Amino acid sequence: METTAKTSLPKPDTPGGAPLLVNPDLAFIHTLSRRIGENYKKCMQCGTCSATCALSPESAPFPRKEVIWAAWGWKDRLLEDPDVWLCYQCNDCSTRCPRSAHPGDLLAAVRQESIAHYARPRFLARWVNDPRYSALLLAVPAVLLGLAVRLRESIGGALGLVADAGDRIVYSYSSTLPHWLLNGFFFLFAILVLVAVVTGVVGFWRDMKAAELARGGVQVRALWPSLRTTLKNVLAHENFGECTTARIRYVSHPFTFFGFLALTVVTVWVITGGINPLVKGDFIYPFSFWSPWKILANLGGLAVVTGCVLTIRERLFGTAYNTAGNYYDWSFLVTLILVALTGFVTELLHYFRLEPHRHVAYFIHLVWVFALIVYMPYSKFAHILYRTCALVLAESFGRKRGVPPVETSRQQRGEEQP
Amino acid sequence: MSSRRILGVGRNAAVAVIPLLIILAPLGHAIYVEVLADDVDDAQAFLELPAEPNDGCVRETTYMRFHHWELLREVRDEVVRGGVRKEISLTRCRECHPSREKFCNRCHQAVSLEPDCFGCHYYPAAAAGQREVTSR
Amino acid sequence: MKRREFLRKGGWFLVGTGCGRGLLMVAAASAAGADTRWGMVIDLTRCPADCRACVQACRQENNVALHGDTRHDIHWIRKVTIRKKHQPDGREVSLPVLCNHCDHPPCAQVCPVKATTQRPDGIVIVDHHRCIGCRYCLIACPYNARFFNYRENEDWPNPEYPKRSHGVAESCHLCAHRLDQGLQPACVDACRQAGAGALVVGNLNDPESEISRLIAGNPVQRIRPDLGTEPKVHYIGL
Repeated sequence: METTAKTSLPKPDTPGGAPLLVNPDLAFIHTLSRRIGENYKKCMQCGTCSATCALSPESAPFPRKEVIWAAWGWKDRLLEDPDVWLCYQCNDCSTRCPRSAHPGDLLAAVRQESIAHYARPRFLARWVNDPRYSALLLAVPAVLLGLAVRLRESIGGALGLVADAGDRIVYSYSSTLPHWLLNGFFFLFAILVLVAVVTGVVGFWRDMKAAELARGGVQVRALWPSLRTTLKNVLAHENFGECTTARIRYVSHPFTFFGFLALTVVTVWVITGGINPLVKGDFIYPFSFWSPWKILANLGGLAVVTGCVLTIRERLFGTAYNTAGNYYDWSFLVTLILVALTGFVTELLHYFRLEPHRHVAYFIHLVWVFALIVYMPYSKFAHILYRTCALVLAESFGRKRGVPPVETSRQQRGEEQP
Repeated sequence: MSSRRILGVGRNAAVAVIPLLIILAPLGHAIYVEVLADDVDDAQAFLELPAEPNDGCVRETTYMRFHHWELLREVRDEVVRGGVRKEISLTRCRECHPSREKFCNRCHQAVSLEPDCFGCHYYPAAAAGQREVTSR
Repeated sequence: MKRREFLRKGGWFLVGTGCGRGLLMVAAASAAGADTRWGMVIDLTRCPADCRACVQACRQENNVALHGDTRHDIHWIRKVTIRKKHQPDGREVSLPVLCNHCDHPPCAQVCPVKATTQRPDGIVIVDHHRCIGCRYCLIACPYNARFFNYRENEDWPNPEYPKRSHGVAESCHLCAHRLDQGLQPACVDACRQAGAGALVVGNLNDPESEISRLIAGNPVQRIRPDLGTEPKVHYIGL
């Protein structure tokens, strides 16, 4: 971290601390203002937001400091700050801010910037969050998958895969979308996703940890127990329960979360069907409607749709959010609900035995699945990585509510706490 | 621990545990079937195939697997509406595949399909002595 | 000269295709045996009033449903007793009545989905897969020869032949499945076995066939020929 000329905390030269050097990143300020307006500049640093935030740790309360850092264009410090991701956008702070500076919106904008900063390749991060590229980003998987479908016979022949290679698939989609094609296609792109995820998460973690250590933080808990506690927190949606303003999310997020988890579990079961020791004989797919896996998948899809509908309703007609949201918010939400809805349409057309409609519907569903999963590291969906990292780090460094701050004097830490 | 804290813990547990139980239910079912139903003959074929050697089907296996209903439909229209008798008929299928339960119903049940041919066309589901089912 | 050349060649092309299609049609027609025209003659002088052999044989062969309820029972062939009031002796006649396989079948005319059609060989047959159960054909038939399955048929006396399920209309098809194999309809065989031999089914287009000779050599009547349906079941001694 010392290699780049970042405006992080300067090491103190003398007792009493060196003066603070701030290099405002004007482009960053403009980006933020474009996203959420200039309300955040109205902040008078009264600290009501930090006092009201239920998730704010006593050792380093937020979002007050983040607002002034944003006003000063202190991009580096904001990007390495875990508090940005500890925020759950419950908007309790925005509701109570006496200046209507909407600190909640500001942190959301900073999170969007954080993803754009850490995701690789950078151009994809820019494109995924730019509405002008939405058609191109959907066209790419459609064209690629379409080509793969067109050439499936030649590809299959070249790879030595025969249409009925042992699988007892009856009335399946394998005439147009055989399993080897789907698995291969998505596996290739899964590798890309994995690379993007690893680079993003590793970069973020390193920056966060270095900043925490520079601030004088001490690792009070090992990584693995911190991860366990964080997982419990995430699964139980504890932080969502602390919210008063956007309380609906204590209902909608568990629905989307567990619904998506259910769908993922069933998908993994299907993908690994061939090597599953619990499956005697051949793996029979598509599932019967009454197969426990199909029931779970249907429940999961319904849960996802329910959660998304609740969220959409809150964003459009509710009072919890200050604005309905921007493209970054809506592209994720729409992609998620469309994945579930196209899935249900495919299932319905399959049960109605409509050829070729069910194949077309499945194709469209796969394009949206691609958009959701392959663009995950670049879209709002990446919060599953970044927020978890921040939570683990906060837990590991004791940066959570109720834990007393590290007892070092401000002078020793060598900074003027704004 | 105050009662409020216990309630909070209980609420958190409910939010996490109940969905996880639902998600793990099919896996539990699969394990249950695997562990407890060990009297199932592993070597039992999914479909009861005719004994070898045989003359072979009217069409090859891949075609039948993916298109047998289309073949039956074409033959049906030619026979009933065209008046042209064909060699292919469900009666002849029964010569090599005598049990609907062990052949036809296996795949049909797996994909939740209930063709209503058997309400009118004779295709015994059961072996001698078992209960006759005319649908599915 | 180019246009004239084109028109000439085009004209010959059309003639050629027309001839080709005509040839194909003739070939197809002859292949389907369209020169066969099935008809029936019933000699009532040989038909005993109390005999039901044809009815029972048909029920057995074609899985015709009998539920014990006159509203729901199906009869492809039945014995009807009529009293001829205008005859001086007022005698009663018992005759088998079945689908007449009209050449202008009203049932086929009214069927909204063309489930009931007339085959090229003259047999009127129901495609039970297409029948929607509207029962228009029941109303249209002037001979009351068509019936509807108001119930599921529990019995299956002849597993070699399909039965009909609840919801479709049906009527006699002259045992088309047997005729196509060169056999005689079940009622004809049963009548012969019973010793009467009153029912004769044959090819009306063949002047040498038994049925043609019977029609030529006897005064035959058809039921209600004035309706214009052109029934093909002829009665001797009606």
